[in-house]
Amino acid sequence: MARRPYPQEVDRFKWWIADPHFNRPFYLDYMARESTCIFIALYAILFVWGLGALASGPEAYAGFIGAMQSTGGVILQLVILAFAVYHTVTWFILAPQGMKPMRMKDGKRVPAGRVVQALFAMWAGATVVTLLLVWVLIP
Amino acid sequence: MTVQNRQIEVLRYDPERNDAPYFDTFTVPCKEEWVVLDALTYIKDELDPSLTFRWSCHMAVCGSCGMQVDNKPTLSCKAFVRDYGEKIRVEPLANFPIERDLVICQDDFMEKLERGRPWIIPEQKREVDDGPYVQTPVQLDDIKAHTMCINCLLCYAACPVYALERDFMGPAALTLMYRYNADSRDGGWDERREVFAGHGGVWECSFVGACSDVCPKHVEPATAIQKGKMDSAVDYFTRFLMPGGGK
Repeated sequence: MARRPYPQEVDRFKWWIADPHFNRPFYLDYMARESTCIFIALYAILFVWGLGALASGPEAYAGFIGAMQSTGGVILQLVILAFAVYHTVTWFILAPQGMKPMRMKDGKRVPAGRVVQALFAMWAGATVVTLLLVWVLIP
Repeated sequence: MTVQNRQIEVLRYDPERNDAPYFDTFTVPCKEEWVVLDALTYIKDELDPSLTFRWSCHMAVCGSCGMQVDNKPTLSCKAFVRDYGEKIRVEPLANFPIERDLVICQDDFMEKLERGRPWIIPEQKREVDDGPYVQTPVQLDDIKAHTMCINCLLCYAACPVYALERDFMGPAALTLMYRYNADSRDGGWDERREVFAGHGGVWECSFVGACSDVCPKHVEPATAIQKGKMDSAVDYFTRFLMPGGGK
């Protein structure tokens, strides 16, 4: 009997919408997690723009600060912050799945939950240090 | 013992008669303890002997009976009909060509599995008189989950990267490669590098993670592949930055 396998193709653009809903909507979660990185990139661009303005002189920098403090600028930064937090939280939760097991002295694995907790603790610590620096350095 | 009629909607394809697959619906009196595989066996025995599907152990060990049950890659021997609705849709595993009815064509996976050299390649071969290759419990624990694969291919059906990128080695083959690379008794990294870290290797994976979710043996392919990326990155930098290629 001749073999005549029937190919099963998926749509290159719509595959993540036809989500098979495993134990949670996997493909949608994935797309949300990955696409929020665009907002991280956007913030990096803003940051580079600010540095450029700073290098160009006081007038340009004042213009940059003005744009950031305008209603539109504030809304943009809040939106970026929201997506950046989503991106960070989802990656922190995934972290134990993407690393070699950390072991305690007796050879037992550090539980995955502990790794995630440590990441959140470091994030909180870094935030506090940053805010303190801002408070100390900016009159 | 309660018996309940269920509609089993099965994708059919006969390469000698059909140009495209179509759905056939059977009414099956399912007993409460039945799994989807039992319902399919009932169809074959009582309703339509031409229905074709693979199965063997009926206990989630052989890895033969993987199918899409209600659109999710599942071992049909592990899918109790009572956990599904009145109507259950059964299709061949996604992302593979259909050989006939629920049987998929495994050629691509078989070729990739072999290409991965999934066996111990010892750094220094020991003779029988030298005694066995030994391993500590912690060294075993590092890889144990990844050794449990039964090649059921559910992970391939769940992986959108495999669906779109046919050169991708895929979750199971890469996990086995990682399992041997990371085995304390193995020294085969150099032999596997090209396949593991080159085109179609671990770097094609974008960490969707659905493979680990559908895996019936908790092999954690997503974790194995991410760890493999780490090894590959370390290998790359030690070879190019360290004197003597890190040797």
